[in-house]
Amino acid sequence: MKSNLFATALFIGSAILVSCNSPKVEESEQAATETVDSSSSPEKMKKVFYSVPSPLQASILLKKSGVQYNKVLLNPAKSVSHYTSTYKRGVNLGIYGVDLAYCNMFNQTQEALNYMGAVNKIATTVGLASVMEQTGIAYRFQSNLGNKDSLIMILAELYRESDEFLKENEQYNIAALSLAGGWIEALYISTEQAKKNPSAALRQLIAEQKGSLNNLRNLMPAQGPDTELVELKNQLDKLNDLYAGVVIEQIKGETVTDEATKMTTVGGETKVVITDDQLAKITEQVAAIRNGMVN
Amino acid sequence: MRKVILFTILVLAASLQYSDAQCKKVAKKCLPSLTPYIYTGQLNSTTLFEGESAELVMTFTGGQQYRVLACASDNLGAVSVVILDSKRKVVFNNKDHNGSPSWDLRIGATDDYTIQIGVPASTTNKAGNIEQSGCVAVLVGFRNVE
Repeated sequence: MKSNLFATALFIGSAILVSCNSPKVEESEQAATETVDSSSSPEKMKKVFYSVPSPLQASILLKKSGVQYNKVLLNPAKSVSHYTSTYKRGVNLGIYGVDLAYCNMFNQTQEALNYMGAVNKIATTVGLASVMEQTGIAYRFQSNLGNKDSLIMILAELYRESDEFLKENEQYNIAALSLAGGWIEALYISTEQAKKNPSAALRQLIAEQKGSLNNLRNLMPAQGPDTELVELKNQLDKLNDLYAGVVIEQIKGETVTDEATKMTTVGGETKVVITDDQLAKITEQVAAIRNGMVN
Repeated sequence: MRKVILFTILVLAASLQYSDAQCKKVAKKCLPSLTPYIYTGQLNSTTLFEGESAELVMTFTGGQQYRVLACASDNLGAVSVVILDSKRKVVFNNKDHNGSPSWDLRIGATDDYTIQIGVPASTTNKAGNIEQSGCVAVLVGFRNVE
């Protein structure tokens, strides 16, 4: 009897350990998308991660594509107090993250401060109060106003610490919702600006989000926290359908590796074909998703 | 007996906490190696046993440079790093570069890349030995091509 009890305890304990040793929610959510490529990896594939551009990366790409600063396109910082559900707080954490990085990229210091306030407030509501306090990011951000490079590094630290904390505490839903909100916000700014000035660079940036959209759909949580999540996933599926006809052709060039600098240059260029009609429909769908997030 | 059960569960729960803490420590240890690249901010880490691998799928944008960095617990030794493009063509394999855990990529055409990190199966492990396991993290940094 005693040995049975001990075996039971060991089994329960082992089950806890095995299920928690790796991120259990993410694991089960991504089980359906895991793949094995035995041709390139002799090991047994355990886990597949998906990544989308961070708020900082998105804002850098926006600036590079030639977009202008347009305050009207951002989610007003003062709206932060309206978000009370887990879903809204999660997606708007990402939205405000992009708005903050975008303001910083265009040297809009006062607006950036306002958005840092909004990020601070909404981060606290999703359990990130300790991250904000321990890192002193809001204070350091204010102290470094005018030094864009320092601010970029501070923002990189903010996004890293937030992501680490959420994953460490198994809040995978919030982490994924935040990434979704940020990705949609960056695409919203791009598509809205393309309405007035559909430059080749901007069209390319929008078209090239096709791959990231696929990654985003793969990293979205399978369940909860609200029914709004189901609607968001349906909307992303619809957006994916609209992207299906967008052609992205990689004209590959030579791949050259420099051992001395530990750098591989993958030559080539991207050629995209996105029609006006496709762009208009994508713009409309992105606006619908984004408006559902902020209102 | 209840004390034994409780003790067993507590020990295992403590191991779990250690595992999480270990992963964060592993990633933090490697972060300085990303400089001067800007970290994407997304922590991708998991516990792997010998003979297991994990992969990260992400879009590399044309006109940007990336630094891919594999970080692993010391007990795992060298890990394998293979980077493939969307057609599953190997762009980088660290076995051809002295097992380097870090490599930079300058990207011409935007494409979806897969970064595979593997813990090689031990060739010296004899039957009855406990398999090594530890945290493996993939960190990616980016910057515009100058």
